[in-house]
Amino acid sequence: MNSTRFFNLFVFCFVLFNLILFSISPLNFQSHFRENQFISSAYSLISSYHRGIARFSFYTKSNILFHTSLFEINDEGDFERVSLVPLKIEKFNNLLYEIINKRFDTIRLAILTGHLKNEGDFVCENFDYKKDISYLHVVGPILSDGEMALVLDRAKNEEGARRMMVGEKTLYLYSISCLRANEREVLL
Amino acid sequence: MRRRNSLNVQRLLFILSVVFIIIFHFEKLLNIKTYYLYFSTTPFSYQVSRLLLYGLFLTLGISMFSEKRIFLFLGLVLSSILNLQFNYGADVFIFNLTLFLAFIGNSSKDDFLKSCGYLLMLSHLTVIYIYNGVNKLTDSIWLNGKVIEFYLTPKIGFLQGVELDVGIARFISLSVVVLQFSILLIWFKKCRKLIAILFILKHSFIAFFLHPFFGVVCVLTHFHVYFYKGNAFKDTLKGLEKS
Repeated sequence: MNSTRFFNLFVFCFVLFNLILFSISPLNFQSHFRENQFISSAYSLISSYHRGIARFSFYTKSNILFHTSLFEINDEGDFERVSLVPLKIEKFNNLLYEIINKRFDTIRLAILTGHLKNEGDFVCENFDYKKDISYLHVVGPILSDGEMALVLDRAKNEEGARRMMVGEKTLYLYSISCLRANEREVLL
Repeated sequence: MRRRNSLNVQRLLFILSVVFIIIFHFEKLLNIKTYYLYFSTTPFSYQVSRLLLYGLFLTLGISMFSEKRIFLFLGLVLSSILNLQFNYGADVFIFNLTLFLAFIGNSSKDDFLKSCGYLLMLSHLTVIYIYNGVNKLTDSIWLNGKVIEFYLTPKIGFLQGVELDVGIARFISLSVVVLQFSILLIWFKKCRKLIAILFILKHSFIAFFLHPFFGVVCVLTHFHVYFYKGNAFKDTLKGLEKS
């Protein structure tokens, strides 16, 4: 086998491999495949080199669903979205929180306070969701609007606990997600 | 003559795409301190991001004047390891476009790598739109037009007295879903141009009303589809056999 053929074969394998990973990795965000180790590994592998690989599975409609959920829980009236990426902050039980994104089976929340203990349980119980530590981001202390927007946007793409500096403030980001307990329908 | 014109257009499109990718990343360089807040926590990574961006501009810049794909692949690697925040959906498409261009290259001759580039392009677009279409199809808020209403109502506020009809909003929503599933037709040469034009119109609309960066990068990608005349899968296999 000459070197060109070997090179072409290598490229072809890479292309096919890439296509397979690219095709199945968004399934990682669908409820039926959430526990699937193969899909999860495929997602991890391709997201290690493909920028923003999963963004297209974060379809923006979910943000509206999210705020609708808040409306259902709080019964406070209509919610107005403030931008394409939700940066809506609401108050509930003296907590400021924001739902960053919601997929078919998972919601993501950012709790904007530094005084929470056992954040995951609190959120999951109040929202009737089961706890699964991976996606909830807790930040604090009080930030300016600009800082808040930055933190929230960062939190969407960040997994795992992490510390970061914003100006002179130190923020701690934690990730927890709440799996939907009983596939509750969102009421409009 | 016609082939030469077509190649010139493709080359122009290549240059435009690379320039746009540079502009997209240049915005990051301008606002690197803002982006820095998202991701990096040490001055080291801050400086590294800057260096990576400079490297990206250099490699992409050279690729516009060189037929060697190595510069595009280097640019691809640099943008892959760039440790800055994603700019919503635009980043996915920018990375995709860089990936496609790295394979397609700046050369006028058709070869194996070019076929691979178009194979990647058509496949990625298909995957993206099908997933997105399924998401929209299973979303009652999308299907009843509320999302379109939400986005468009403030945008047409300057047209005093004109209101977005619910029926129109629903029609637009449904049309988008149908269009997204019709992406499968780009695999057929006869339908490719029509589908590409429809997507160009859709994304031009997005560029105008919602996200300029996202809209423009999608328009550029679909222009590549529009001017592609081959059969990606067959050509790739043929190229492999020939070698």
